[in-house]
Amino acid sequence: MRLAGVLLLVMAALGGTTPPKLLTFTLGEKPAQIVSRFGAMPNVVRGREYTILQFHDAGSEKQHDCDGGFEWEVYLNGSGAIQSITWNPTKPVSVSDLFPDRQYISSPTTPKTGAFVRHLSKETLVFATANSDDQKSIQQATLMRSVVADRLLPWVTNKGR
Amino acid sequence: MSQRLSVFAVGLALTATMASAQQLSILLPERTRLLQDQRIDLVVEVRDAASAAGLRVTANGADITSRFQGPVASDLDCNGTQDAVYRANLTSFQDPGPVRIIATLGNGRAIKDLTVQRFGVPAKRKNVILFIGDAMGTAYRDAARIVSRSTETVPNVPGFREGYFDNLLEMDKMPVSGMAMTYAWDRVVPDSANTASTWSSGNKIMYNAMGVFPDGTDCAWRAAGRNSATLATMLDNPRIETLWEYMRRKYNYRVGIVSTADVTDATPAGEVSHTAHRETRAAITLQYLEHPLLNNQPAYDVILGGGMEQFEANKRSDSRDLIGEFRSKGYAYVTTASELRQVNASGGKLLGLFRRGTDAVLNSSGIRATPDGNMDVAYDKLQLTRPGSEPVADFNGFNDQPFLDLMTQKAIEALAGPNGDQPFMLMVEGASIDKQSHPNHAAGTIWDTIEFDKAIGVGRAWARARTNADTLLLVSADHDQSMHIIGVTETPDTDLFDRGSSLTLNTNSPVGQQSTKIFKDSNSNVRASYSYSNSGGDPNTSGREGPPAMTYGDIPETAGFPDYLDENKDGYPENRQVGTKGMRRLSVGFRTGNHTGSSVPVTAEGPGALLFTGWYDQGDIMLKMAASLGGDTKDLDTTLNRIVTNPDYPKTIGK
Repeated sequence: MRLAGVLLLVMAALGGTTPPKLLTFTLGEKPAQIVSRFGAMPNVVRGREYTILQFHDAGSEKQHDCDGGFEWEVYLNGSGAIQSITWNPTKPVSVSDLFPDRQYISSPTTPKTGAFVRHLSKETLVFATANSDDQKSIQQATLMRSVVADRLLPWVTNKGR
Repeated sequence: MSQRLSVFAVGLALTATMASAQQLSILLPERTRLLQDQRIDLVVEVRDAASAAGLRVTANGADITSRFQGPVASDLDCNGTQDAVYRANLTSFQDPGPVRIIATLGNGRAIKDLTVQRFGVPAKRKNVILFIGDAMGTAYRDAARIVSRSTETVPNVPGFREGYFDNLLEMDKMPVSGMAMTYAWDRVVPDSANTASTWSSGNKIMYNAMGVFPDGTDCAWRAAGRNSATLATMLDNPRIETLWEYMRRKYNYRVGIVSTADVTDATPAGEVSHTAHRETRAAITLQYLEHPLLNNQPAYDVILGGGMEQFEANKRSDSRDLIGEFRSKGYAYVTTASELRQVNASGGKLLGLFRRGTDAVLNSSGIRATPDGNMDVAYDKLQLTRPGSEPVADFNGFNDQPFLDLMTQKAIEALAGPNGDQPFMLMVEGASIDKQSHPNHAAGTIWDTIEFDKAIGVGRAWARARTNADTLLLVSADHDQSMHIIGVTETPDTDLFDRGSSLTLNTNSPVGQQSTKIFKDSNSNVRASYSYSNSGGDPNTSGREGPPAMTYGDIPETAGFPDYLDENKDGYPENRQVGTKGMRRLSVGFRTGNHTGSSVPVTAEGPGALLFTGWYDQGDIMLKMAASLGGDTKDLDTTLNRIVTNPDYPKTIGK
């Protein structure tokens, strides 16, 4: 997993572009490393067997009530291992920035619902829900362990295809 | 529960001798409080359910197992274990008093206690108008009073003299006051969603949620983001019926919402919506039209506000034209102030959507259109010149938006009917008191509080004109924000606030040397001192945090009162200097750009108003409203009348 992240950085460096910050995480980080990366203490939400670390509240920078509008949400399981990182960018991001191949999978049950998917390694993938395959930008993307995605969103991982 | 669930194979035998202790959870908060026949989804989760058959549930000893459906397989906590869920949707309890619910399965057991409050409506039914100033803590009320009531309401009488107001705000004049604690189920500082659901349902709700309790599949949308792929797990939480739904279902009350926000925003949605997250706007709007707790009929008779995009086919993931569907159900539809003035919806149904979000599109998450189509604020609708630190208005072509007082008047007329005899519940929200406070726009937030108070005046006038005192009027806030009135009154502009510059301030240890931006608000007699960010940045490097306001600079503080001028006598001071008037100003400071956990004021008038004295929880507001609607409040009302009219008791000047 870490190798994939390093490779992305190297590839980006060779190509002269900066990868979206989401892709620089490996999910192998420790919570303290995550805090260090963001340079701020998170807002913490605790569930029965999970913890969410939220960073960069956009609330004070928007002119409307956007409680809970955190740009970054890091999901840890009951053991404290990071399972996913969701990025809610403050401005729409080009699909091709995160999904150069534009692999799109439609929801088998919900019209006008699908996801762009990119397998970063055997262990991790990134996905972003979208309303059509020709969508130009996205406003949310999640980096997730593949084993978790297989359980939560099997149609997104397209397991068994 | 969700798309990932499937019904357990029939024939799972109970093998208690083989199973370890079942982990059972009844998904109710501690100290749940309900009215007689107020409905909840009673849900029992079974974790590590090698065998999940054989659940038994009792309520005060009576077996209610037959109400439950299940077990349904689930992956609770998203950890890959085999779990199961039982549901008894829309369960209620008829007998007042304590109820103990006990669930057993194998050698597992769970217990929850709840309380049922007596309820029944009198022959002469009463009304409730609940006014919510979003974020309107005490300082916001104070600021609106100082700005709008220090003007000459009587010729040659300054309005604010010797420390007294000659004419207080409408909300100040209400005879009963209290304070409400606003904590969410899971945190001290709440948001507008859980607070709205708390005053609507009588129970604490988790942050960002409306009308539901947490459940074991929340992990799915927590882990995979809030989007159309996880929508089912945001809509499957155990629901609790609100007072608005309850009165509509049981007593055919007419109900409505008026807001200057997108009408699917948290405060107007909180009266009838059921979702684990407020961002599920498309689902919320659909609940307005086809409410699952109201036989799939519309939830509201009157909907007035912004958020047109939430109803439009090309902005919705389901491509449904909800405006057309509301119209087909008999709703009059208006989009401008002019149309609203002309519409005759008395006794009928009314949908008014006065704003669409600028460049509104369907968010790629698939659960909402974005950005919010909140209505423009009073300061801009009045075409006053914004202070330099606040943005110039962009109406996006919606140049004829109504003020909140007109919206309130029309909503009352529609709900009460031509003879005023249709019982109703109405929520009116001054939304941008909060929305303008988030970015610390002082003029925006204060003038919206003034607009809100004028709407309260409409409600008070309507209620007082009735022959029977049958309408309870309440004014409160969902939560507070951090604005304060600070001691820099009558400070020349030259001493204050140049938005383009950054001033280095030397302050005492341990704060150390700080760099912070301060703003110059030309053409303004009210302004923020400076903006604090709560971004969490390092104050030593980011410059985004500053020292406490009172340590700032050497601003001369002077005595005296503001002398705002209301040239056109519309109740909204123009906020500029004309001759010798309008020279002295109010200065306010914001400690953060977000909510606080402070308690908020409640003022009350009408039947049962005396119930709202004291310091209590926000959920008590629902139970007190119910006590007013359903109980005999004659003794209370007589007592209050004696207090108010007895000349031997002191009276507040200006009231």
